[in-house]
Amino acid sequence: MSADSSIAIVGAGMTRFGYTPNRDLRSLAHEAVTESLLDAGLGPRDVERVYLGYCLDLNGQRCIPGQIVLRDLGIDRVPITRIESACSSGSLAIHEAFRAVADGRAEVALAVGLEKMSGASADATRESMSGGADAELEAALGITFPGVFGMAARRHMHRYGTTLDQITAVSVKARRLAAMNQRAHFDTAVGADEVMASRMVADPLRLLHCCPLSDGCAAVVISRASRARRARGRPVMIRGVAQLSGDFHIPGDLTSFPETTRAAGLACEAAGFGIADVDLFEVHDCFAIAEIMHCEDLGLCEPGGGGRLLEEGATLPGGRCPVNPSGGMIGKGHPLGASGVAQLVELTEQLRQRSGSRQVPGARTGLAHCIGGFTLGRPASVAVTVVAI
Amino acid sequence: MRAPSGFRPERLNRPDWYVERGGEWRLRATRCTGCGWLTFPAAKVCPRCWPTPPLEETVLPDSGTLLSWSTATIAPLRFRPPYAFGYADLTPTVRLFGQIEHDGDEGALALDMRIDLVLGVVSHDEKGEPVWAYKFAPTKGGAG
Repeated sequence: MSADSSIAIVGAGMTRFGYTPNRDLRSLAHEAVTESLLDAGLGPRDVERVYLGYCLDLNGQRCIPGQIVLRDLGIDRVPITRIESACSSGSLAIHEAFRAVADGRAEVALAVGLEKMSGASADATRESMSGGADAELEAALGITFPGVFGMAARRHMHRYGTTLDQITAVSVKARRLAAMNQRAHFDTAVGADEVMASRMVADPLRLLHCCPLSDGCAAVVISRASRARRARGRPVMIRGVAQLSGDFHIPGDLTSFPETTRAAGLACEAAGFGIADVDLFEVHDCFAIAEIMHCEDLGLCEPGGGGRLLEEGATLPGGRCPVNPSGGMIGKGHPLGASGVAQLVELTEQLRQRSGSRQVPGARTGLAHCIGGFTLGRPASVAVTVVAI
Repeated sequence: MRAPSGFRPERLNRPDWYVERGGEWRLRATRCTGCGWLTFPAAKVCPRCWPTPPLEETVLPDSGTLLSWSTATIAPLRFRPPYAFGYADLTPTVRLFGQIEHDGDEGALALDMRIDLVLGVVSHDEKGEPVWAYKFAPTKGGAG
């Protein structure tokens, strides 16, 4: 949809992502939502509509999680809608909050992404994760998500000559940047040898080629810039949003997700600028090969060139097309429902020039890309959000 | 797919997905009588010609091409890792996910190799009873 250029992220907040078995959903949500409201210079009673991205149901709160976690913050008597779209749940919460402000249903809308993945048994977590594929055609037959991207990696290496060293370099970059991000799951860098010494998870992908299972919450407040005059930072305009389901009737070859290209094209068209005008990208690097694929599908390089793009340093914060300066999902962590919102928290801070040693110099435009679920070689959902300051 | 020893049709993952003719097990699909579109599992309508014309019953080919594969070393408890799995294209538009039987030799697996559908145990239910389903196996003499 075309974006009303005055609708903005006026406040952003998030918890540190990580393994926090002693924190509950409420504690995570209260921290992130409070921070986002204070950042916006607004209060709980200003919120007229809430969208919550929440995915796995690993914590016993299978229904009404939004109402429960927001009740004691004083956010009640308003529409609260929970959105589930696997790992893109948070992105869609942002899109819906944006649309609610755009069409006048709310002056101030809150998008929250939340997930707690520690605390449940390893088996419950694994069963729940495989729910992101077709329950009967894939999950019941033994698919695993690392395996999906293990297959993609093998195909990409076969077709383009992408090397395991290049795939490993994605993880090394992610961890190096995460070590500069105080809210990242991992606070230490790793070398290629350490990545390659980690245990095999889904051949050829090893544990450190995979994002960790994290707990966390991220929140953004969306309104017209004029509604948040006491905000602590400049408003970050939402210029274009697009979401697509997979092109399920064209099986594809696992080296590319054309849905990414199309969704990014739609969001950029709404924004009125092209991919070449985007200063930084947060993309869905759930597994190291994925970042390479997304760079190609976004048009940052030619098909098959994602590994070389990385080796050239183009995707570092000071490079030609910075990708995942936050540390991405591999370094920052991946609480499924929270990740799509956390991408926009990162873009907001980057565009406000507040990202410290990870800062992309002079960034004025950003693009967030998130995929959710996967079936028979296609992402189930691709969401792209384009912002500018 | 020939029934191997110990095969129990009532223990198939979805018995209604399979049909047996003269000892040969096949996967049931539907074909659009208008455009020929093949759908598995069997469907009620064609996604291209919806809502008419009617679909006819057919079966899937029992071999295909391995798009890619990986190995699960971590999986939910009902599975018994490690096991190999992959995507195989049976027709240009019908892709299946399946575990791969390779006699312990992953070196026998290659991208784009021909595979046959076979029947095998894919998981065990909460009582420890085996669940059977289609799997892939390299076509004898069909590597590459």
